[in-house]
Amino acid sequence: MLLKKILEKNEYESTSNQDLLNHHISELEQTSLTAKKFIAHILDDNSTVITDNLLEKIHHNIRTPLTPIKGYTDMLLSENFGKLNEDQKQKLKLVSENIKQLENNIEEFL
Amino acid sequence: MVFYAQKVFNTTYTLYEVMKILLIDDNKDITEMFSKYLKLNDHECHTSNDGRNGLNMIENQKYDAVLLDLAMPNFSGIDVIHALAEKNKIRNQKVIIFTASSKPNNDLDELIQMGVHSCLTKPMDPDELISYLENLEVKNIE
Repeated sequence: MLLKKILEKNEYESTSNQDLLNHHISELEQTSLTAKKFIAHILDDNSTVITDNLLEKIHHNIRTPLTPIKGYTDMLLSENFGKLNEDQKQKLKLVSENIKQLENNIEEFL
Repeated sequence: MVFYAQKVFNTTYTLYEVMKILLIDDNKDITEMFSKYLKLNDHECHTSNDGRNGLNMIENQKYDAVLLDLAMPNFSGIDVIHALAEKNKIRNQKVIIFTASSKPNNDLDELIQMGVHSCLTKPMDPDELISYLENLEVKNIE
């Protein structure tokens, strides 16, 4: 009888402890979930900011050297630096078309 | 701005404007290229590859237009604009932002409020730039 009582008591305590443990686990899981959500939120925000800044930097760093390339190509084509033969003109037109293509690609993808 | 009479087809005369432009950009290839083109088209072009030096030039001389790059080391275009605005000197000149940035429009309203005239983005055809500046002058005359 006594043994039964002791076992029951242990079982009760064990159950009670198990409940308590489960409760704590649940709380921890909840906290962890909230923390995960919070971290995900921060990371998501940061990654957006990082991506935006990176894209802006790429955009700026490609367009800047493109400015004199485009400018001098136009000036050469306009024969501002001297007469061109037909072959030279054709090649420069090709360069000019490709610069425009590159500009369009930058606008489209960045 | 100076006006010169230009003889056309030996019979008629037309007026053309010589503009005095200041170009502030840390990229020497860009200042050299646009400067060459403006001079080829009989305009006067002054350049600065440094924001602080550019600010001094704006404060000490009158230009028909100031083309100002934003992203410059040490003293950026934004610093130039703030320095001019603080001294109430920004509206004395036509300050035109000239940037390769994809984001100037985010801050453009604020900069216009501060007294910036307009914004152009690089790369830009030299022809388009000249045409823009010449129309600017026409608007100014009107």
